[in-house]
Amino acid sequence: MVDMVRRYFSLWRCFFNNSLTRDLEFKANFLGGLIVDIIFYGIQFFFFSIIYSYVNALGDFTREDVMIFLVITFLADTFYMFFFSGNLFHLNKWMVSGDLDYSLLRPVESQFMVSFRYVKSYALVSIVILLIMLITLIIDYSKPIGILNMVTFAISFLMGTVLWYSVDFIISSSCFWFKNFSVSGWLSHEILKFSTRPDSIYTGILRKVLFSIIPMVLIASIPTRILLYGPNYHYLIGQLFMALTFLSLTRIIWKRGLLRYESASS
Amino acid sequence: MPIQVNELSKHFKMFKREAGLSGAFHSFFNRKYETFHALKDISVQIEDGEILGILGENGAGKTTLIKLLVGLLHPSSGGVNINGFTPWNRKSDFLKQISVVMGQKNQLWWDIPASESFLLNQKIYEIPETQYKNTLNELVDLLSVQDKLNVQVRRLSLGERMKMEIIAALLHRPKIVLLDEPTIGLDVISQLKIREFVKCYNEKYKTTFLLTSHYMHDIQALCKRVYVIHKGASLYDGDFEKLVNRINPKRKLIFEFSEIPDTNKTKILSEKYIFNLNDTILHAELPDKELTNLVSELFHLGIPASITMEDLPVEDTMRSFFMAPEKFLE
Repeated sequence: MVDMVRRYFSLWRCFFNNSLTRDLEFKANFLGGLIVDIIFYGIQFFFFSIIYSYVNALGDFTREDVMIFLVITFLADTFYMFFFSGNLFHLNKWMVSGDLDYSLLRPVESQFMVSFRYVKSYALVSIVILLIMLITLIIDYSKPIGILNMVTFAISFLMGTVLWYSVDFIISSSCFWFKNFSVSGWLSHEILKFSTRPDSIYTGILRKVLFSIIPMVLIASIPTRILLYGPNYHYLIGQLFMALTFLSLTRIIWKRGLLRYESASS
Repeated sequence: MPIQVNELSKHFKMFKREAGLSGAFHSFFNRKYETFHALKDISVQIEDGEILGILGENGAGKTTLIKLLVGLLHPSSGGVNINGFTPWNRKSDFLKQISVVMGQKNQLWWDIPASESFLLNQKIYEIPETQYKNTLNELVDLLSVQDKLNVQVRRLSLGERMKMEIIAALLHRPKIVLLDEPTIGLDVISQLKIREFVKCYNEKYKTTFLLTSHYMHDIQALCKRVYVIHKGASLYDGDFEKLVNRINPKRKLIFEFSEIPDTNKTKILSEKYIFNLNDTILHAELPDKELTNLVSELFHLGIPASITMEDLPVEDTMRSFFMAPEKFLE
């Protein structure tokens, strides 16, 4: 098991080196990607801070809570961008064109190949910027935030990322059944927007759905709560259960999907 | 026996619709499907170190067969055993023994030098450092691409790119290599170099090659045995030369006389054989035995200035074969 983890980590490092080499090949593209990210997060941050400046609280999140929540949503988004967006967004295209063939022919777990093969290296810079922002906000927070909060936040955030990946992976893999489902990337994108609002704004059935079938509030809202208000084991266990369930679902769907793979003609 | 294919069939469900906008609307609400039989009961055995040519017109099922053999597709029925593995189980040990080069698809990253993709393959296939370096040096030498290793793939010519694709495919020293139209679009010199490389590599390492190509010169140069697929079914499995002779047993003769031969004598000869005579040059296309007899009789007509006997172009022969293959194999 340890050997396998070491092997896959070493493979991912190689993917990263390849991606970075490619991204550095085109200076304008690399810097452009970085600028696009900064503008996007800047506008989002500015937009939400304006909205939230007119209210003192959003649900049970105060203004400063909301600011931290926003940075956490951006961080989750950037993490996702860095690791997965260069892969899952293109899965349908690879399937239709037959480019998936070579990924399936490698003596490596094929789900790993299609999930991690391309790394958006420039997102690493955004991750660093957002982490600095988050640390600054934590330091400036009105109440002290303890180490335990931060450690459990990191765990919760990681599980949130697993959930984000799983939901997107399940949607993207549906192209095995639909043959061409090019809107899958955008569908994921729209669904994932639920995660960018605090969970307290959702009520009724929608809230139940967002905690279970489409567990979007577990991506950023719950990690924020854990960071700000301390570890809540009820949430953490729930998150762990959902992350494992959804991750197992990706395995089942991927394996079933491969049985249906038709590969494009030469 | 490294490859055993038993009654392998593959069919796809395809939706069918009528042409035009109304057909598109109709099929949107009421989709009709039909079954397309891409492969029907294919059985073939391939020996260790053999180079087998897989022939067939476009859409015959060659690529489908290759994709089944490497485990990209799951069959509708039948089985494949490759060195004890079932391909579509995609076991890591199996995938390390095979390799595929698809002439119309790239495994190399477009924007970075091929050497970077080779390093990645080293990691993926867990190739020890010394073996990696030795293999890479050998392949690079054999294919004469030393100075292209650090050039971005997008800047390489098609021929150079294909050589790099072949290197990437052979770095882990696979036992079985499937080449799906590896020379497609290449110029004559690049085609020749790739052919020479495959031949030399096969002789040296006894690697089993399965080759599909629409260029009959590839097949002629590399494959003693061919497997012909027609409309998804097996049509011929055997010696390529025998197949060519069966399709067109004729050979071509160009006999040049040193001076114009006697008209009466040539007239008599033309009643026995079909040929064209222009002044001193005689052209004939006849089966081997008839051609030998004709040559011996031509010596009585006059002294030859030159004699050329050659096979008819194999491309033409195979073209006529694929237009109506059943006709030749009855």
